[in-house]
Amino acid sequence: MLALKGKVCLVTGGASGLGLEIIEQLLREEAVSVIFDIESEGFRALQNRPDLAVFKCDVTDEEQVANSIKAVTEQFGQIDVLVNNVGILYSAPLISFGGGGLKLHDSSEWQRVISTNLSSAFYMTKHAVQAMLTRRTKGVIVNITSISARGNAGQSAYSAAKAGLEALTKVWAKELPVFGIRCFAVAPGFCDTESTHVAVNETILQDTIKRVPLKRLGKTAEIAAFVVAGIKNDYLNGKVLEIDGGLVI
Amino acid sequence: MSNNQYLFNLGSRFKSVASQKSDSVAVLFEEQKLTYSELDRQSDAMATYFIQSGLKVGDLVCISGTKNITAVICILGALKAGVTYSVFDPESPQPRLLKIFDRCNPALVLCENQLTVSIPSDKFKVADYTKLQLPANEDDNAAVVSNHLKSITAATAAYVMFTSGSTGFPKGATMTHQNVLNLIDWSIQTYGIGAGEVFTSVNPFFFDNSVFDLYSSLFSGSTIALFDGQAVRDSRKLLRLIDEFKCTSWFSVPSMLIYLQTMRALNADSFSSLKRIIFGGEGYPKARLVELFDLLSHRISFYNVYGPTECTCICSSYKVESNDFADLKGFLPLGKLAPNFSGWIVDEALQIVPDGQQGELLLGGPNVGMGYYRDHERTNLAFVQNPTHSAYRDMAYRTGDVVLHNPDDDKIRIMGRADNQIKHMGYRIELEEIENALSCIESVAQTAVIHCELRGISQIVAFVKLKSDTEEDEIRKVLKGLLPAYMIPTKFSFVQYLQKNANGKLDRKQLKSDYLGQRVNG
Repeated sequence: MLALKGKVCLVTGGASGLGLEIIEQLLREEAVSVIFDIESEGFRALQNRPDLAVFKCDVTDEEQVANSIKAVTEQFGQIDVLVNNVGILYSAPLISFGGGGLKLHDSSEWQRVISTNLSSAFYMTKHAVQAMLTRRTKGVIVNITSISARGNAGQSAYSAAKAGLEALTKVWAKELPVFGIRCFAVAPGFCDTESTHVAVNETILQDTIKRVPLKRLGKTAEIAAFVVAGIKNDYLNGKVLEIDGGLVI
Repeated sequence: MSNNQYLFNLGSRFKSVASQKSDSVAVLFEEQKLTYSELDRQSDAMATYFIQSGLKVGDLVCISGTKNITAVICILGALKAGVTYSVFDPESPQPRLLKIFDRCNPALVLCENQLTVSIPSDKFKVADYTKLQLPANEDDNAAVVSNHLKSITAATAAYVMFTSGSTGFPKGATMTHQNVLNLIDWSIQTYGIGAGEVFTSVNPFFFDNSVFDLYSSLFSGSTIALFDGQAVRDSRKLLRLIDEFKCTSWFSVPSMLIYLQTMRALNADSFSSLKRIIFGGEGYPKARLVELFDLLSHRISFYNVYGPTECTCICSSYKVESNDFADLKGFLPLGKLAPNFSGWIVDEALQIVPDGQQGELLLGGPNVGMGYYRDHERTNLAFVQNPTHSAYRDMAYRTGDVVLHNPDDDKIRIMGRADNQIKHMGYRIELEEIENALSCIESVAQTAVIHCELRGISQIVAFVKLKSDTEEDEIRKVLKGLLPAYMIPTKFSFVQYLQKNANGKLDRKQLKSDYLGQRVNG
């Protein structure tokens, strides 16, 4: 088992929601916990915390990613764990008929979701792996995907991005072990988070809860605990672990 | 240092030190340095400006707390003019600043240009301290100050330090020249401050820990090295400057040292000139402290200090020893009370409790301050008669800290608080002030704020019941306009209902226990 004490763990989108919960649980393991996120009030509040290292980084911009990874390695000497957590939830059908007539999926939203949820993980992993190799660090890459990767109606961009992330998980799980780096993904179901409530219609959400055998939404603490357990398990590689209360069986 | 002069106020004391150390460096800041004679002359000019502007002994001047040499000159000028100063956080939200100014009714507000425009000039006299036309004739200034110093007594208020208040209104702890003179002498004795000392000033001037840095250095002939917020946040730059300035004494809240540890900025060669690390304002988790102690204690002494703002910020100092780490749970004990302090552990009726029983710590003696500025009601609640006699007026301060004296090891330990005041990053905060601010937000129906420690790190958690959907970032934005940054909750938890206890009051204990339970089990 990988002992996380003193290991440098980097979480993208770590200033709120599931990312922050993963950070809290990594701190409990005495890991050096590093957050990459964009500026927000929550981000600024975390800058006052003495137990965290917080870096302002737009992970959709490869140049910023490269510079920030360099800053982390200069500060801490290494990167041991990368959690590609950043993500935005966006729901819209490809085509719909409403009061205003025919409505098509907005292409700029497609680009935004793909860029944030998929391209960011590619940039981050590319540069983090380079840092791991340079410093000869055995590493772990975790991708936070979603059960939507199976293809959720009304979520073209989100499902495609998450499916792409699952594909990358399998590619990296085959390519990287030779360097001592393993990769796995965690696919949460619907969680009781602010972003879920904002992005998913309340009626749909209630209907989803009825379909979950455990009859409730997941908690971020439960997902985060699962992520940390996976990081610690040295034999876990290439798998997408679903944690959804049994929604998909 | 005194050469048999009767130095009964801080202005006289500084002039005496400056005359003996005229060519020594008094202040370092970035590329700038000021000798004692330069600082004496410039603060004479500032004092003369105050006097010639019509400010009288006991009038109050508010000074912006931006860390720079000008702020130091303003503070010393105020002390020499007998004008009471209060340093404010220039980044504090305007409504809170105006509450403080309303309470102070300052004769003058000194700040940077960008802030002068946001302070109502019809209510307050405001000046940009970088553009003051100070009287230029040094001999005349020295004569004005020398003559004026005679009218400043040891009982004149030196400064007012504002802290959080439970009603949402900050409290201004007022300290006299004598209180601070006592602190200076205690500090020189306790830490053996000698020639060539350089004190770090990493604490903002509006934070009471800065009192120790400023007065222990400039009133002992030592140097003070100023570090602004930006330098403090850049751990590697800070450590480099501390070595370059050959700093010998560090004083901060534990959070700042923990941050340096988190950033892996410290190693066995760090703090190459330091003789002592002093920390206080909050507990230092022993599990983190031991790492630093093991790294540096072979050449640096460690001290844990304690004391409320109302009593010159330090009333005890405890030298940390390796046997303090026999177990790594909890925090260090308090040191013995400094000479000139009396202490009693009392119950709610202010009766002294039997030894070994916990109770509230009451502090007496000449370092107890004057109370809260223009706030008799809250002064009367916190400052009470010495519980051991009623023969004459002898005030003691109710710290609100619940402590326990262990007769076996003769040590006092803090067990908690008698009220809802907390310490977060060393700042004193009344949780009710945060709740009051949250209640001002239209979408907030009900709220309860708790404080807890996770792995020894302080966290403020706000439980909020909303009337209408609002994102956390929106709430943070509104709060930013009402509270200083250090008071904004670390975490928000949005709930459907808020638990009440049997008396119908918000059950903070239950909320805290549920929250911590989730953290541990989740």
